[in-house]
Amino acid sequence: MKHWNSPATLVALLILFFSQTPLRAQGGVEALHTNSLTAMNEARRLGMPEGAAKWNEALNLLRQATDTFDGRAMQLFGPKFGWFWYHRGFCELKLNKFEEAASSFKNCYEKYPNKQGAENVNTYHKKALLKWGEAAQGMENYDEAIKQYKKFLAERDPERDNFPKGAFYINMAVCHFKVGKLAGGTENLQIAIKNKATFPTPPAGIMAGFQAFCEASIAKKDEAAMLDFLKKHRADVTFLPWEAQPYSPVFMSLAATAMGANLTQVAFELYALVPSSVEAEDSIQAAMAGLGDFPRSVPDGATIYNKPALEKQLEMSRARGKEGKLPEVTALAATAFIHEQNGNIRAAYGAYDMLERFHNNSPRDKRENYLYQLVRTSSLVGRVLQTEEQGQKFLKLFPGSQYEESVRSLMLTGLFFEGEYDLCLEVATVMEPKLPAGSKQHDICLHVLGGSLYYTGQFDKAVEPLKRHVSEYPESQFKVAAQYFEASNYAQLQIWDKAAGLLDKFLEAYPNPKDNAYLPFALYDRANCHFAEEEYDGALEKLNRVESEFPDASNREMVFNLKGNVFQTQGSKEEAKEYYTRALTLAERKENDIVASESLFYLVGLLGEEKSDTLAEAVPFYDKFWESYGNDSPYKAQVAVAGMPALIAAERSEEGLDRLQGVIAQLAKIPGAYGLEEAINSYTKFFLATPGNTEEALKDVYYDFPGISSEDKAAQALLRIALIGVFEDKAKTAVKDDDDDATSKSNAMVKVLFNDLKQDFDLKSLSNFILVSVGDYLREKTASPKQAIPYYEEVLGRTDQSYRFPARFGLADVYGRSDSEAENTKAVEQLIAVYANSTDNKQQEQALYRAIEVLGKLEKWQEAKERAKEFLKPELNYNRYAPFVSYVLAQAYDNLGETENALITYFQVYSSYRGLLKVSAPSLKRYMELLWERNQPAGERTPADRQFAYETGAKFLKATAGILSNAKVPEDEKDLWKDVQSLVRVYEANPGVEALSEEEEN
Amino acid sequence: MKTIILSLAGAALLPAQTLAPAFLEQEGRGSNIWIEAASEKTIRYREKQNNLNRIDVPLRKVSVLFYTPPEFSAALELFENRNYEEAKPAFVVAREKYKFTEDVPGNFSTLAGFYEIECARILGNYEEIETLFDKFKPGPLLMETHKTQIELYPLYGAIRSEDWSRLNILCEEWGEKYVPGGLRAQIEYAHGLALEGLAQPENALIAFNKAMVADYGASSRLVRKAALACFGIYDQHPEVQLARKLHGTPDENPNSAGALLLAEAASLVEMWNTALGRGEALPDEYKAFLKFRKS
Repeated sequence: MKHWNSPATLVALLILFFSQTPLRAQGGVEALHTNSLTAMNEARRLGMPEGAAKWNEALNLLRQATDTFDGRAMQLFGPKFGWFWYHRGFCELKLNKFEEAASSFKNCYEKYPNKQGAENVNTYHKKALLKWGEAAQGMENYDEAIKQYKKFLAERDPERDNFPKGAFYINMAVCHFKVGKLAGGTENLQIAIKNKATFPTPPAGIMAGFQAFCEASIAKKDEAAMLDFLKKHRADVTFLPWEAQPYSPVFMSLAATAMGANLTQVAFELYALVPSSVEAEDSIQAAMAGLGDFPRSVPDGATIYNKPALEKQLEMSRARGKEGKLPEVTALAATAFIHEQNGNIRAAYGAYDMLERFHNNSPRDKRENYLYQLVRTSSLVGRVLQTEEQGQKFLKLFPGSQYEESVRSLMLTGLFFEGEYDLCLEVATVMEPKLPAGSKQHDICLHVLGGSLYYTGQFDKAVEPLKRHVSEYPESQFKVAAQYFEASNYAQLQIWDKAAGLLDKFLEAYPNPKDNAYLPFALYDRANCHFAEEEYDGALEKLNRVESEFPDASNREMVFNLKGNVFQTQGSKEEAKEYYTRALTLAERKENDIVASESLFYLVGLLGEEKSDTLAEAVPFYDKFWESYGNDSPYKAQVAVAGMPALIAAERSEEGLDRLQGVIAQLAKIPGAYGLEEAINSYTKFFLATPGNTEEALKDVYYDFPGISSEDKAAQALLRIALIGVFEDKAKTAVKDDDDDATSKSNAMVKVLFNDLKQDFDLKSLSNFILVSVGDYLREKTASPKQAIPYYEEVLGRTDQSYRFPARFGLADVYGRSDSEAENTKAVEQLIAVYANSTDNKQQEQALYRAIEVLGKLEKWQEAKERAKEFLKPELNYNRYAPFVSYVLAQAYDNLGETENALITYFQVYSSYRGLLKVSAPSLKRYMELLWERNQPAGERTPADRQFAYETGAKFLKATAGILSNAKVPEDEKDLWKDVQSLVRVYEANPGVEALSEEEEN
Repeated sequence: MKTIILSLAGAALLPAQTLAPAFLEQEGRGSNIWIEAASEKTIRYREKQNNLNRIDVPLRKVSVLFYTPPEFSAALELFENRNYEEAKPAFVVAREKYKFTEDVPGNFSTLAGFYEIECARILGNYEEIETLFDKFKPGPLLMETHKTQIELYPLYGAIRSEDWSRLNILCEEWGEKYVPGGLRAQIEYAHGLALEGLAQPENALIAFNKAMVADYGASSRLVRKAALACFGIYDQHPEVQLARKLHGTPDENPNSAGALLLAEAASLVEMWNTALGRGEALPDEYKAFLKFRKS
């Protein structure tokens, strides 16, 4: 540890000696004195390190003098000889030989004291104490140094023993701080600072003391002392920017130490003392402007202006700036670190953003780190666009960086976890094919791609990447999420059997909620599958699990709604009401408006069912819906419809119709809006149900529907078509009632309405969307599907390619429904063309399915078989119509004489889609017949065909016995069930068949 | 342009006249002088304080380095000790006393005037900035950083008039310019206010946080104001309000945007207590954020 000294000290001392020494007359001693003095003067002029040789030369001369004469010097020269010891010590001090120096000063002080009354003889006697203290300080023997400094103060002659007070008090302070005596050190430092102008104490001295103070207080973790000192003396340690600049490394180092000691505020205060390099350079230039060409120093108080020194400093500062090694860069990075360590990531992000924005010329390794931190923190604070932008920059600038993988992940995962799925799709769609298969990055990319498609509701498109991710990356870090997405995606597509299988597998593989954040969601999805398959006990079991095991699950309100659905379907109205109400309460508390409005819809539907005795209870929920959620809820059409019976009962039918009217008007403005048709149909129904209203009055309303402008062609057309439906129904009723007059009038009106439709909606003036909408409505919802043909043909005749495939499909469908073989054949051609050429996967699936259906109708079994087998290829992943296509395939095998294949396929259809009576019942029936005909006797492990045919049918009947009493099962499906029942009875009556007992039927 | 007019009466009062000590450089030679009067082109000085001889010299032929007058040193000490209330009148004293040098580059009257405006800025007296700046002649300021600071004063005019759109535009103009940290902190703080005013709370949070770190917290008052602005945003944020409501209930979603912002607010309270507040107590309504601190 060096003591801090003023360069002026030696000058003063040498001058003092030179003018007073009486030793010149002592022969050899005189030469040693003169020569050593000359060497010291020269050494001083040269400065260090250049002057070191001269200091050594002087030291050798002084050693020679002390070694030769010291034994008898007191007798020969008296106390004056102390001069040699003092200056020997001085040279040793200069050469950092502190121990020797301390010994020399000690000799000067102890061996050559002045005699009483002659204190002027050894003028260095007391000053030797001061220097002894400095030597001890150099030896890092601070207690000894303090002792000697104090002794000097106590013994010195105030008149004669002048000393540089600034340096003295700074050294005293430093020694105190070094031995941990904060109070003593601070007292001395404050003396030096308080008298800085008069002592003087230049900035370098104050800084030396301040540094020692900081080190001591940080070591003691005495934050209060530091802050108190800074509060009182901030100005004393705040210099002009150029003066402070050389101390930046000191401030930085101290701040880093404070940071390490968790003294955050101290660290900030110390960083605050680091001057901006721009300001420092500005202040240098300002100072130089005042100095002109003056080459020497100009003191202003404690500040010394020196143009060459300033120029050098400016040059160095600019060089540091060019190299990007500015202290403020490090300070800013450290500030980011402190904030992040304390949990304020946003501030860290801000700092890294500024580092990249303004200091991107930092050395390569630093910039790589800062830019990476920017990518990372921007992702954490949700600045996904910046994550993407800076991530791209990082990858371009630092290929092969240790952070490369991490950056790639952050870019995509950041977007993904922030819910920026559209952006994810943009990035991942491009990246995925380019990334090496099997890499971690490809794993992430594929996961994000599938997940984003899933979250954006593009479930059809999500199937492939989700499936691929699960199979290609079974050990992915995202494997749990990936497997859930895949299973849930099928549930969203309503491919219930597939979804159910995958969800069961998922639930079995990851049963522990600690490892599986998706557990409550998977249970909910599985419950949904059960519900769709009418497996209500299974649904309740899963829903109950979420309810009891996951009190914090974020989907509880949805779970409650679904549970309400199950209870409602089972006819447990009270329970259903309870769960809808619970869902509503929870959703409202969580401000989940969509689910809250959904609950209200269910409550209105449940309580407001036509003819129910709870109609009055539905009204408050209806009112609450419109009051709180009506405008934004996706359920508004449904609620407007479902609430009508309750409003009629409450004698508010006009209000209900107005509401429906408003909803229709709103939905009409949204092309393809969900629920518009239902709303129109409901309005139609309830308008006519209102006493005094007639079909003719409805016609007047629909021809000038309030809120629907003449520009809303699609809605206008739908209203007209609804009207056609009304008169078609009227005609049907009239036929049933044998009312020829009414039949004739209604049919005439239908004709008029169709003519109006064609006349008022000139096909040429309608857009393709409207044409297809009208065509689809006519095809699917009216008794005159052929009326749709001109609408589709209009689309197909245009050069505008939009809606071409839906039109072609619609047209083919109409032809397919026809009884004309020629038109059916035409339909197959059209449908196959759609299948082959459409880019819409869903449309392709639908077209191929309809083609197979029509081929079955045409009994073109070979082609039907081939097309059906194609449809069922697993890679196409066509699931929606698979039961029907499988049934056609079984029929094809059957008709082509491939009995074994037919047996297998009928059984598969029956067993896989048992709840779908349309296909399961006829499949089972035909399966039983074929077995009966085959009539193989029982084998070792196989039952006899006839017995098995009977047993299969009987068990089916037993398992589905409730169907006949289920009002929701259509009559034609019940007939199919009855066909099986009849066959079972026939077989049971056969003597070769052993009837099952009741237990066996189970 | 001001001219030097000395009347006989004035000359008679010379010993009591205020003089500005300075270093004068001319053709590489230097001397200490006492400036008695000055214009944009000329200075009149004495070689000794009590000397009656005066010398006029054209400014273009010399360089002048003013020695720091004690009035300015005293004011600056108050300023550096963050005692802006007392520093401001002290700068006024220095500005007035050395007003006769105000045309000379690097004079302390102009510099004191600059710091006087700075005190008003730091104290949040934005209207006063405009009043003072109207009378201020920045030409003799030597430091570019001071001139850049002056260019930022229009931001405070926009803050005062709550013209958030204009303020936003002004701040965006400074967005890519590199300025010292203290100035950057001001720009970001102003930008935070603009974004908050324009109902972009999360962007405002970013800007306020940048204000907190731009000069590593040296602009302590600004840091506190930025932190308080953040607390205000957290407090009013609907998602934060919902997260507070659901905190500790079965419906709490720790990963919701509101919960994350709430945890951020809690961290900031802790930082306020340990560092940013510089010992100043946090308003009670924000202390409550601390209980949402994530372990």
